[in-house]
Amino acid sequence: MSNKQVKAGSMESSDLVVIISQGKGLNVEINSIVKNQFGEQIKGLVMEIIEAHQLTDVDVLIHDRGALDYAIKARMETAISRYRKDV
Amino acid sequence: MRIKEINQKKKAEVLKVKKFLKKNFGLGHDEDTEYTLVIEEDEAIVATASFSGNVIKQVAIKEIYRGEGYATILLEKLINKMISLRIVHLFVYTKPLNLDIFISMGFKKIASVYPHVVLLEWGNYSFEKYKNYLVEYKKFKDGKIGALVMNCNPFTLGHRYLVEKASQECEGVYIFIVEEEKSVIPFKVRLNLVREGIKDLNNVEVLNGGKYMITSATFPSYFTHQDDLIKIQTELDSEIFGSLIAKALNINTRYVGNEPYCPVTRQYNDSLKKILPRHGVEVIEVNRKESNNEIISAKKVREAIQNDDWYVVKRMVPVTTFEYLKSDDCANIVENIKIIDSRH
Repeated sequence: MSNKQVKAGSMESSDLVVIISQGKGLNVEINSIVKNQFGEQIKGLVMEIIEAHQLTDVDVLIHDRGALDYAIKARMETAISRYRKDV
Repeated sequence: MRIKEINQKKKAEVLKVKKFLKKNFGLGHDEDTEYTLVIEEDEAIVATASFSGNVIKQVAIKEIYRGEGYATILLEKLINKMISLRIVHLFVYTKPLNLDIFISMGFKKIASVYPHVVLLEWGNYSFEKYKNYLVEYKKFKDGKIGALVMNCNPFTLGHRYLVEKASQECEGVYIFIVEEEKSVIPFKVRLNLVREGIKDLNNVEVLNGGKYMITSATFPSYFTHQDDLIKIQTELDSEIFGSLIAKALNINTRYVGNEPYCPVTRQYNDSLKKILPRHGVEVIEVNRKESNNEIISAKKVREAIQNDDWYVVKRMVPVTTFEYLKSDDCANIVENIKIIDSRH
């Protein structure tokens, strides 16, 4: 098994880092400075994008520093397309 | 402003970084540093950060350049490099002065020894996950609960003696086997030899030492002035054990063997005695077991193997360890022991 891994985004304020690596099943981990306020909303959005792309057998790790929804979507889309290209 | 990668093979470049660290922060520079970035202004270094393995260290920004976002630029690039090397769980070993920078980047604090050092982590693993593992194997609830942290390279009658003593004195005992692969005998083998060697003691549980006990992160080989180096590192390791691990498993007694030879281990024992009582953990130092007026140690066992002195080996290890060492499975390991000489 290759241990492929890609990253999108940055650690700047109002941005997020998305790391997708090959795994078993689907594991999504979200760290966010606004987890208490928007944790559920971020998770819902992330899961929606993952399902739309029918992504399986990956570990998705997110470090968010207060990004808005469209930034999260853009970073996720980029990470997924990088991951697909890399396979 | 210019970001530059330092070529570790170019002595002159490395020396410039060393001088910058020493002059501005009294920091040392590790020999095992794998990768270093610097920010230069007018050809002079104003900020730097490095890593080796999964540990970021030697992070320093010249005072007048702080608050300009240099740290984020530098660390972002450094972390990207680490991610490209498939490192997804990273540690930072830095001065408490830099704590806020890392917290704002999403790092989580593990422990600190003020004013010298703070250890943080970031990525797909965290102490919370190790804690879940510990809680899953939590076996003892009340009374005297003991713990030993050992490398067992390999498991000897000296280790066995220490475990037996703890087992007799406590309701339950946890043995943590150091997980870092820095020993000639692989972790899995060391772990199995301990499990086999203590099978008859039913109040003893053998656990993985994880990433938070005596690892490259808690014991990086660098820090300030050499005299303080070992002291600070061992205090940090003690702090992690006391504030996190002992707490997760209700451990209130830590057993250690007294140390007649190795100054690092002796300092480690002293640090444990200083720090652990603050967390409600008593430290019991046990005199080492002797065989023919000689203290048993794993190092002596390895030396005996090097000399093909199997009679001495047999005297110092349990039957289970001896049989394994003599088995075909172990032929490669024995070969390695003969060519590698290591301290622990």
